[in-house]
Amino acid sequence: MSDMIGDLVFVAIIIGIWTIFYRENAVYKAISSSSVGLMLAFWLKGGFDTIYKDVFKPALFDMNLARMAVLVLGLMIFLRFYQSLAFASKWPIAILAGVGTAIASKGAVSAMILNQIAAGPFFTADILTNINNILIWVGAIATTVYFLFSFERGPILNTISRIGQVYMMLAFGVTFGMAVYGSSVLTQMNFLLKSPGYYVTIIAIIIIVADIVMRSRKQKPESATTS
Amino acid sequence: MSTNKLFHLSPEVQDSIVYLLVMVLSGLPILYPLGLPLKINESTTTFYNTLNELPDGTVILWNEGYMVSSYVSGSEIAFYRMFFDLMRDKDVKVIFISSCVDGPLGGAMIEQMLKYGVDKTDTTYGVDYVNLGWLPGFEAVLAAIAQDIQSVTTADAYGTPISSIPVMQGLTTEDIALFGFSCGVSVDPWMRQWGPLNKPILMFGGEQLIAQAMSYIQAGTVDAYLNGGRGNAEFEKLYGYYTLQTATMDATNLISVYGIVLILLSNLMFRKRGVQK
Repeated sequence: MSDMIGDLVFVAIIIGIWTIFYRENAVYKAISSSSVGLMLAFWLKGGFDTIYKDVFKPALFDMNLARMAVLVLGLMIFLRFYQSLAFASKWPIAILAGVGTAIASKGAVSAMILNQIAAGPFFTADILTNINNILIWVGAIATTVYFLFSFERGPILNTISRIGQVYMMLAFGVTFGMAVYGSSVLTQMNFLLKSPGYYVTIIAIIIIVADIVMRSRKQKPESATTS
Repeated sequence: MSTNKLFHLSPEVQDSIVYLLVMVLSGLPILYPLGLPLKINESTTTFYNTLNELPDGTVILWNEGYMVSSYVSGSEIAFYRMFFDLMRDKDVKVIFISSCVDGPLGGAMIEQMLKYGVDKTDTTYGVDYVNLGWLPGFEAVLAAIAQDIQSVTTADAYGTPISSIPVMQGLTTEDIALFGFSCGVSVDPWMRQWGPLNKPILMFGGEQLIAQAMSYIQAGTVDAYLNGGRGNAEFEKLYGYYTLQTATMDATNLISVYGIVLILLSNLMFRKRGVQK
């Protein structure tokens, strides 16, 4: 029973969000605001749980010095609320930025440069791989040319730039299409069109159709008056 | 305004028809599967074989980068189930962890999967697998895993100290034979931190990420990948366990054709209007 109620609520939420395709409405606003609020609450809960588990507990109960240092640095960020000590709130942020940059740089050379150079010959026995390689090179060069704005482009550079534009259009289109339809829309259809979700779908369709009819009836007398 | 009218329909109605057709085309194959043929990609086969051919007693680590919302699409159920088959058949140990940039939802995905997605028969928590949960820091967590798995966290997702969890006792990063991750954002951080370990890496990512990951795949840093929903459907075919991922492949194909037709039509109309002007 609880599963069925859960499914019905789930479908009602999906349709509520999708009503934006029809027009802006209160249901859409209520659900989207609730989802942002719930997400934030979930983040906060997860954040607090992790801070308690990995910082507070080991620092205060197990006297773990490293975690204690993390706790002190974390608390120092709040010093920005005290004008006389606000300068110190920049220190933990500086450490964070420094450590982050160092961590990111550490493996970058081997994984992002050396391994790429050693990836293999440009031309192989496999024709499809060769075509792929050529397409990658053309795409990389043409797309880079598209972003050259420092001098006036002649007809050749313009043509190359157009090729880059097509590459980007394809890439953005595929990214958007697959991100949206690859997982979200299609899987939600499963809930919308199968039991018990279709009850909600039918009710939603009836409501939307009724709204369309009512709005068109309202509009007709108005347009008649204006004409 | 009249120039935007097509078949005497206002642009607003044209938009609605476009969306309506999307819904019809994506909904129908889910209700009535078309059973379009599915060719299995070489990388999917390698992904499956890499898992299938793991030696007995291997320790693997799976870093979850997807949100719990993807659980409803069944996006990772098949290979999570395979992890548990490996635990039963080959005494493989699995460490689940999430450093998802989407926050604690990555940990919730592991939770959901372990609760409802897999068959845990004959496996014991703490002995065969452990859930270290979601940890903030993203790349810093990946770096810590690469440096020393023991330093990543002090306790598992449920607050049990890792020192008292059998599978974690004495475990070093060097003992982990295979690394895997799912991600919905840039693959670079995994490559930077785990690439230098020179261990096999498996990847599951959204279709939009594969182009970015391709340079690492060709360089051999990533051993195999599952290409989004399509990759999952292929994996399900190999593994013999089917979820919604397989069912949605027909719909994806239909929508893709529809998308191409829309692009062609809109460009033709645009060109026609240009000529008329």
